[in-house]
Amino acid sequence: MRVVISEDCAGTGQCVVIAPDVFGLDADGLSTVVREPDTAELLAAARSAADLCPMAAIRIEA
Amino acid sequence: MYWSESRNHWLVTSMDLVGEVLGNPTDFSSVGFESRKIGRLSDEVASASATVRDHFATNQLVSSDPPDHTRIRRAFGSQFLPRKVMPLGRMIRAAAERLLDAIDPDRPDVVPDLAEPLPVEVISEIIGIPQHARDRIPVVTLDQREFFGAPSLNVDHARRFSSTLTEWNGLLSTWMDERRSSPGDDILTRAAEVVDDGRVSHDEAVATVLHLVIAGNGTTTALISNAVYHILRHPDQARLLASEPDRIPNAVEEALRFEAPLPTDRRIATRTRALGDETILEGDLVMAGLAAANRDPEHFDAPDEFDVTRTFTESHHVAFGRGIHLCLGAPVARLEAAVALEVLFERFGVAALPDGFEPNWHAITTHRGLRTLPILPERRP
Repeated sequence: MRVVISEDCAGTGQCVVIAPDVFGLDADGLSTVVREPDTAELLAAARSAADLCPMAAIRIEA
Repeated sequence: MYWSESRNHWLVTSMDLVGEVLGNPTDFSSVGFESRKIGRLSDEVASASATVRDHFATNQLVSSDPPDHTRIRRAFGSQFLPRKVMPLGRMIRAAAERLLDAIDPDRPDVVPDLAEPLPVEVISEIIGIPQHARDRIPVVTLDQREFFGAPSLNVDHARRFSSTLTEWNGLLSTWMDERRSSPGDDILTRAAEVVDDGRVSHDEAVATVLHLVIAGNGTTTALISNAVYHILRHPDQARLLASEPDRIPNAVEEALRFEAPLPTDRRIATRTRALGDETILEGDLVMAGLAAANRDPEHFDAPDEFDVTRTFTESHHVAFGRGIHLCLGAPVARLEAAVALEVLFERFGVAALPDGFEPNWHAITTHRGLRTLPILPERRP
């Protein structure tokens, strides 16, 4: 599983609140993947962040 | 969660259930709330509300679901990127200082002197609203708030809001046209661009921009006044913030948590399903209690205590909502409130509330903010 953040990211930061172990903010305030979700728990959190992203900018690839 | 017989809706009060409602736009839709409200009015009021119904039937951020919502949010999201918002601090500070230069420095009232006019100036700069029309912003804000929040909606409210909407439709269309020949770095320019490249329709763009005008205004007024009020109720915390202004952004988060300007958000169930221990029926109106969830003892220690040093790492408040409808302007509101607090401390030191001060809240369930907030400046040598 791989988390991909598209250029639609607007830095709402919600993914960082929902899945702080997977997402962080880069120097521009945009989301970045800090750890690939390599456990079931992290994957669930990453999926939840993807569902809740206001810009629909997070994709989980198989 | 509770069923309110008199209001005919569910009220969800725990953080987990609020998250479930706001995190699931398929089951809990943002579409149709306004037409449903208008449909239940008397014939006379409903027919006076036709313009309002059409306005909210047009896709815009607050009253749409994916994929329309995603399309519109993406069209305007670039205007609220961190790199666009952070530089606004200087403009916000200049506006706040200009406003406070013009008042009686011995008898400030935070609401009319700063909390009301500052958001009007800031949102006008961001959107590109000319100086001469800015005094129409509080009018449309109040008309909308009364339309949706008044205890009993009458035909005058409906006529007034309808005519203000028509006025704003005309103004925004004119300004967007002006941007086509002389573009600027503002949301009206962006609106004209995304209409011209076919991403959103003209009506969608106008409705969305008007929503941003209104949403960026009264809520921020409430945030600033609520933050100042609760900080000054706790003089030790006020002194801490005055001496360590780096803590101000966290104080803004605590004010958002403790006294959310929008106490509720609303959704309509698209199917019959379980929620908590209850069964929600298709078509039920579900109010997500943002303010209540922000006091959920499962998520916040001592939730009824205001504490500007509270850390938000474990659990975050939902004052800006949660999920796809998360407030687009949240970074601007946060910055604006922080700058307002900084400037107030600089001007008035650790001010005090007047003896026996009793808060005078707006008597409207959809909006939590103070009508007035006189403060006593610190006596300084």
